[in-house]
Amino acid sequence: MPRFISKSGRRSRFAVAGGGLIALAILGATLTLAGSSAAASPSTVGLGTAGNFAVLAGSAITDVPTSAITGNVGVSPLTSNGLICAEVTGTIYSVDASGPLPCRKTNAPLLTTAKNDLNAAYVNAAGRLPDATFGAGDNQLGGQILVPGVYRFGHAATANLTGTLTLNGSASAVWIFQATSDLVFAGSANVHFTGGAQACNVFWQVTSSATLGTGSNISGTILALTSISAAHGATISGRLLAQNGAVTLDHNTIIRSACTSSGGASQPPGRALYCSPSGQAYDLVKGEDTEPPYDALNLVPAYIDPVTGSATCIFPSAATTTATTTTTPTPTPTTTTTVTPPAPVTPAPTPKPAPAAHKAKGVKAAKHSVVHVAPQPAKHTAGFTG
Amino acid sequence: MNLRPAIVGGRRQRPPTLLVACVVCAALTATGQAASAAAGTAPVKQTQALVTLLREHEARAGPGIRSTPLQLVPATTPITGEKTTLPVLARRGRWLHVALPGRPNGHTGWILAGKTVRSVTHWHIVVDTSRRTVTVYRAGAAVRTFEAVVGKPSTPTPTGDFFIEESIALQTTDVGAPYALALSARSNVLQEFDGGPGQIALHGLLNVGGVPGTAVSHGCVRLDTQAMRWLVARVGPGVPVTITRGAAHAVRFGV
Repeated sequence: MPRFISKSGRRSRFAVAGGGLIALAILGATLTLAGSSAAASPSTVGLGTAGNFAVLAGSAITDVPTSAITGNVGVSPLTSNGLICAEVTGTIYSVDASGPLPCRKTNAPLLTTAKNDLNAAYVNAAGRLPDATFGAGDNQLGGQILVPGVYRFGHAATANLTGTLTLNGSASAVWIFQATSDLVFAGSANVHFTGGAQACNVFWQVTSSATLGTGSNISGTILALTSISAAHGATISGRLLAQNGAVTLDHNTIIRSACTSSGGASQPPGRALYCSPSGQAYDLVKGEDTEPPYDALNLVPAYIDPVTGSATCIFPSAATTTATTTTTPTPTPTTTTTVTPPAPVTPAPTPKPAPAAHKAKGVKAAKHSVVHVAPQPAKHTAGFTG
Repeated sequence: MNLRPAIVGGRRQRPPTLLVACVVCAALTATGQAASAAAGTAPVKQTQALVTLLREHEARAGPGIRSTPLQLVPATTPITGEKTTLPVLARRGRWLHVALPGRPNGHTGWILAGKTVRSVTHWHIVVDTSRRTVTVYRAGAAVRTFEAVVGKPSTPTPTGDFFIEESIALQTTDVGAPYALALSARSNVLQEFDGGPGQIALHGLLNVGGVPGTAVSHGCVRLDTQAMRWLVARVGPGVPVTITRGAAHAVRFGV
């Protein structure tokens, strides 16, 4: 399996001899394929708390309004922030009281941690061995269709990407791009995904500064050692994280993209969702459902929607549920949920009344209806309007 | 040993730090009496589909990955840190049309159904700011009506279809104790209040006061302690809350 597909879209193949492979392809650009071309997708780059930010800068954030940012914003160790709250769907963090209200939060320790995490992510991305190396030149990435991997490229005469870069891979596939100099996206350049690939799994490690051209549409998290400049109208589905310098904005749209479901298991490795007969969901270590005290709850594995991969305690046979009442004036209605999962793959558990603490007085809980959530103490302060 | 339910969290003893800022504007004269249940036709539907997020989701303007991204929906709520639960308005394939909290009031989006747990509630709360009452419906039938303090004319309680974002156990010294049901609604007048986003809540009268049946609050809906205790024992995150101003209101919830 090759790691890249040529600009013409035709898949290139390289012979493997002696357990090693070095292949050279020249298709508009010089490509050096190093290492095993059959390697799996690289592991993702952990961003830590820096992942909570759409824009994170070391010295300043400047903006030609109006930009639209979805995600948190922060500057550290310096404080200059040219954004206003209306431009940010999220929180603007600052190391002092210099940011705009009411969305500003002063939290220097949080920013220090985020910057440290950014540094770690940068080092992580920069330290990956490349699967392919693009030499210095111009438009090394334009027209390419790349499979998951680590790609390194040098300085470009004008731009590293002009036109469209297509990333072809699954929802969990990862691309790491290592710019050994600047990273420049030409005006209207864009990153296109096929095969379910997601912006959240694309990382641009930039040894110097990154520039996003006018009207470009770029996906991925940019980890720049120095600064990042987005020209008028550039759109970023990802993050702009500048370690030491500034992030310069101009009528930009930035959305901190989160990975969407890739199907398959809906729980982290080693954990599983189980359901009680009343429909209450329990997130447990796999197998823990048979151990005390959970073994007394008659738990069954959650239903996994074969289409979406989501775990649910609404089983297919429970599409129609009946709620009964024992006191007036509550009637005895027959209710039908509109969630209609596909054909059943797991039998519905035997219905039992919900725990006493979770049902209304005198009213039997409907099978698989939502279980009441007890009031929780506040972890964070907030002001209601009163 | 404590169980660890994914949806249901046990009552924790960690001292809450929430400060509910409300104006003290009247003597504490709550009657604590629940009015009789409203009779007649049910203005709400019998059930409401809900979805609980197991991780952060990206809400989009339409049911497709190419639709315009709107916002990220955190997996946990901002005050209590519990899992986020949202009403489901529609479903198309693997996409769910959900109501979203915050501004603009009543906004919605589409999220992928993956990494979620779906459920249904039979509860629905209707706040009538004209009558200054809170009526609680179970499976489409009114089961209890309480008199309430609602927003004064200069800071009215916003109307529309909302939902309970969080159920919060307050400290006895907190304003609005003993409980608050934080709503997805935000004040249309106060963009910020006491460091918060102008969030509307149903909460108690302790340490704030107010006479049920009056309109003196900054937008929140205040209920006496007995009513709040009754409510929080039955309703929780995701339960629809319709706020009307007397006239018939077309409830869009009810999937």
